[in-house]
Amino acid sequence: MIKLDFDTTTAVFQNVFNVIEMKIRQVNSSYVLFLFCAVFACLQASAQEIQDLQQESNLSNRDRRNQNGLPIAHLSGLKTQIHGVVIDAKTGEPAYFANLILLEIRKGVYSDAKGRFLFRNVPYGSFTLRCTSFGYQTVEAPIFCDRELLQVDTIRLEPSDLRMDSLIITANRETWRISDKKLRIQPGVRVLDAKRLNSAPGILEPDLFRALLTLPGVTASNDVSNELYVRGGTPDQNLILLDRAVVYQPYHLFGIAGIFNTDFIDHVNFSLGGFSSQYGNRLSSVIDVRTKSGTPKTFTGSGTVSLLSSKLTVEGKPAKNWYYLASVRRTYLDFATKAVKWVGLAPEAIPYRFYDGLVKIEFTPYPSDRFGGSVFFSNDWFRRDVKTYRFTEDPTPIRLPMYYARQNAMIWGNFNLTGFWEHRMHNGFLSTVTVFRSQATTDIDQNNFWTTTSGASDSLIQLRDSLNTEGRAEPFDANNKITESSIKWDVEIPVSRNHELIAGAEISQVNFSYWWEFLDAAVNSELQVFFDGATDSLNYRQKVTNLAFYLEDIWSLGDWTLKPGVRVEHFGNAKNGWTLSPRCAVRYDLTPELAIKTSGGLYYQSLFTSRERGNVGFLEIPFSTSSMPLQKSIHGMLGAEYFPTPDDKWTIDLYYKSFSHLYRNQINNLPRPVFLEGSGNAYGGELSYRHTGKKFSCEVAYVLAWTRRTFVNQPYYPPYDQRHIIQILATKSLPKNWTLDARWVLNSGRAYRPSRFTTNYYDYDPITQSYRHRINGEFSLNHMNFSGRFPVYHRLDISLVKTIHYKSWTLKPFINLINAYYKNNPLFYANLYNYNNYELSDEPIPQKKRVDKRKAFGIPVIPSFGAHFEF
Amino acid sequence: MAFLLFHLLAHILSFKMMKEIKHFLYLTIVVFSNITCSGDPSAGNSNDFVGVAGVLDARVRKQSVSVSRALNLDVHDGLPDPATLFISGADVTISTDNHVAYLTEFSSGFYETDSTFIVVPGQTYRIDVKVPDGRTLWAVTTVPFAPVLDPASKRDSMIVLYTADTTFNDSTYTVHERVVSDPVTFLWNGVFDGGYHFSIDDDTIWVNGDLIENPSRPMFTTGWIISTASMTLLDNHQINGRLWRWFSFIPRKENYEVDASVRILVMNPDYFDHRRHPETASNIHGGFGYWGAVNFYKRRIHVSAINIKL
Repeated sequence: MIKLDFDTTTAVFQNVFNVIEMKIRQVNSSYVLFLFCAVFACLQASAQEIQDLQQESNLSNRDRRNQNGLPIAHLSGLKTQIHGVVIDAKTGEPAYFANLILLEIRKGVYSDAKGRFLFRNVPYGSFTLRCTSFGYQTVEAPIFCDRELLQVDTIRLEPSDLRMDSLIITANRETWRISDKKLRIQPGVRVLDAKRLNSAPGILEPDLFRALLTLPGVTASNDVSNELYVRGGTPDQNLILLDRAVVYQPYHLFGIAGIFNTDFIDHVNFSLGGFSSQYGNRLSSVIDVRTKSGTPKTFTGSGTVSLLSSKLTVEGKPAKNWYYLASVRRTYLDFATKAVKWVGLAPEAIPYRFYDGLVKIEFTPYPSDRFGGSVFFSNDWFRRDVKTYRFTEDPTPIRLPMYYARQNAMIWGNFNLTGFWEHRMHNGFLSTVTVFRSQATTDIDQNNFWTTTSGASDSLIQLRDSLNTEGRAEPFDANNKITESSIKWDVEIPVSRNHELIAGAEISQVNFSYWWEFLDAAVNSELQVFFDGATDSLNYRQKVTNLAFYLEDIWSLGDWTLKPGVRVEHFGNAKNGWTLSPRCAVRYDLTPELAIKTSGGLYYQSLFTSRERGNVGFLEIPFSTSSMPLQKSIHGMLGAEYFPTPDDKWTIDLYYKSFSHLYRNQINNLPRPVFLEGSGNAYGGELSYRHTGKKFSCEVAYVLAWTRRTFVNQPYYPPYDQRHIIQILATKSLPKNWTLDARWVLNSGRAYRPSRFTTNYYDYDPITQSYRHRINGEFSLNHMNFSGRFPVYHRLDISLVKTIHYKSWTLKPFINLINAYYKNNPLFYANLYNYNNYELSDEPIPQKKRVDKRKAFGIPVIPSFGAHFEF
Repeated sequence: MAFLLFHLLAHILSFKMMKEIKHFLYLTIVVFSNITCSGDPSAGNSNDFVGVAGVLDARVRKQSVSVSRALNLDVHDGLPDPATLFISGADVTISTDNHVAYLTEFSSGFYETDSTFIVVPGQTYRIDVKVPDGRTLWAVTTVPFAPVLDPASKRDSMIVLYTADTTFNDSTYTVHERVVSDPVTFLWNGVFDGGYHFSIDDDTIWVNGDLIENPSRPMFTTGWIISTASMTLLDNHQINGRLWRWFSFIPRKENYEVDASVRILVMNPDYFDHRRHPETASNIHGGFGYWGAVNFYKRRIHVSAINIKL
């Protein structure tokens, strides 16, 4: 129990009475009703509002300490309270965490999750109330305080043209201050909402993972891929959830795009480490994607049409208590390249496309209960058939009714089914039951064979059969599937006004089923399929049942907020069965503008992918740590955030992660993968500054980081180690509803495996006891794993967006320019030439031309245009 | 270049940029451009690597070490002048628990001890190299004890019986010899993992010197380095599966005798593994190359070669 000081206690009781008084005014026609309402109001308001009051009271105390000497509008000595609600003028939804300031006395509060705000201890007089929120136009209104309790009119925020609706940028993509109490305790947590996600740079279109890549502490292994390496962790160590359901294959081709259409995303809670005990079975980070669950009063929709893809999202309330959301996206690279081929601009079409979609339905029979279900799917499709006809060997060849067919069909994707039941009680108790089945599949079928058409003679048919028998090709077939079925129960229990318990339980079953033959993957090639040095064939089946329980306690002690927690897990066939993972987060508000946070904990993971070699990964598969120790990580985070003004924010985060029992394929000629055990660590710091203005917003961030891995007693920097990152995101509002966005990044080079060296040294031969002068013109140093560094990387992306309003429609045509000034950043280096039979002469030989051939280029200048629309 | 672009962008975006942003930008520009754009030495990775090649050999009066660079051709345009790959001005030391020897550079990239440096079998030696740009490398190796010929294998003489068909064409002799002696086995004690080079060669003067083209050539030798401690000679021209080479057996004179030595050179794994496979392994921390040691055993033997005319 927290002991309140006199002012706070008085304020709490006074507020309760004020609420009762408000209720009386609303129902004064009936005394009985008054009684009921008063009691009801007390009960309903007690939990949340008392807590708000407590926070506000603390804030006020600090404000009083900080306001010595500030000009006060009126010094009559009388105090008042101001309360009201902030909503989105377009949708009617509450605007959470809007910033409200009484300018004359520099007193500020934030709206809560329901859009409500409350000023306490405001002196009588005239003031200007300013309300600001990201993505909305600033509202200023005069208010006159001449009574004890003042209720202001509902503040309706109009969406701003500066709200990052363009494709690139922006400084404002992250919620200014995190309203979720559970998340705001931890350092390294970012909450991104739909508006922010749609503003991130994307090659094809806005992308969740591309947006996350613009955050400090997040990097990718190359220029094309969006696979996230978060503070030294690898992509398989990120827990990716879609409405609480695990997603196993979250990327389209080579990670070029994520599978989530940003239009159906409501917000994303992204934790870069030190995450809470609510999440488990991953070592590095949590990307918790929540789809829209809004309550729009009318049918609404949005979509985008661009050069290579289109998408459409609609949502609405077809009946009372019902809500639906439907979204679909499809690329048309196949059609586009076919058209290009048809007009003769390209020799061949690219038979590739992907599509994804979501359908979600919610039913709210009672205010306390909400039921829902969703279906999510994503699919990548590649199919290519090539026929090579056979000809006679005459001087004038004649085409025979026989050809060699090469058929290549590849389909991979996800299919998720999710259902939930949410029950909320009047005292703030919240119970959520989630059931989901998540499946990721890969189906590859390659066939090479001779076939005949009608009119083939018997001799040709015999030839066909003999060729197919004698020259039997080894067709590559693969069928990989990972399926998780899970049921989880989460509860939030308010114990007291300063104390809340969060607990949960989960049982899940994961099936791994991989089969392929005749892969014939090249070791050390630029493309690694399935895993590093994948075996020629594999038949791998595992079934794992996992149990998890967690308990968290959020405890507010004045300026301190503590969140200790513990997670107990049992991993089916893991070697060390039960695990206990203590975790904790602490926040200390030094002043209303400055907070210090820290978090840490112990984390386990029972599955892993093995991909580090090569430069591009494809269809990575996770293995279970059966019969091997679980992967383990320890996190320590320390951060601070400082708001010198309502429009400016400084953030600094320091982190350390250690990893043990990591696994990597040994790469040999054995029929089964043999995994080596290794370890690693990652540490660094991130400093960022953000400014939001009416016409200009920007963010500048600098990251200094180290990531190491150790396998076979050899420490090295893996390819995702990137020492320095600096980036600038900026948005400039131009006249006539134009917006210019820019993102510029400057990074030190990533580590990579060099392919060829040259050297010159004296070599002692103890047999002849003589020295030999050895000149190695070009040779390999394979033991120098990832010892090379790509050159410094920099790139500028810009975007220009025009906003046009017409009745209830908003149209936003855009022009997008990726790598605007064409920095020729290498994607990777490859042995793309024949260097055999080469002898180094005494004279230096200019090899520039030949060396250039080795470079596989990264992203070129990519101009694109399209239009986004809302209705 | 990056600095200029950064500066330019900062100005473009500085419509109403606040002081804090400017200060932050300039601070980061100074730090970042100096660190990142100059090769990022703190990264521990580079496209320019340092290597060491050195072997401790008790038979040699001065121990020598080569220090050089290897350039990553992926990012370096063209092949450099090989002479520029030697590293001059490095600090090179070889140390034991109680002694440090400082090596001096006697030619570019080539360093040697003075003659007072003694290589002791069983002793572990650490080499430290600090090149002028600050990078450091180190490695340790232990000098192997010399193997000893098993008493059962000790012999003072051996007789090699052979047949030979000799042809003469264009002033060149071509010999097709065939050894018909019984196999002779040598067993060695005190051996360990590593490599061995075995030979029987003349360490005096060839008795029939006019038959010899190159006096330094051994009479018998293993083709290269073998990894077994038992060697059987005269066994169908093979030594444990490897080719038996009789370099100096060009019998212009049908029968001859020579005072020779049975020699075995033992190489520790640091040398045996890393020099043989320089592309895939190195014991140099922070670089490439090898740092190893060898030892040696020799015993006199009298060899008689007799041509048996069948």
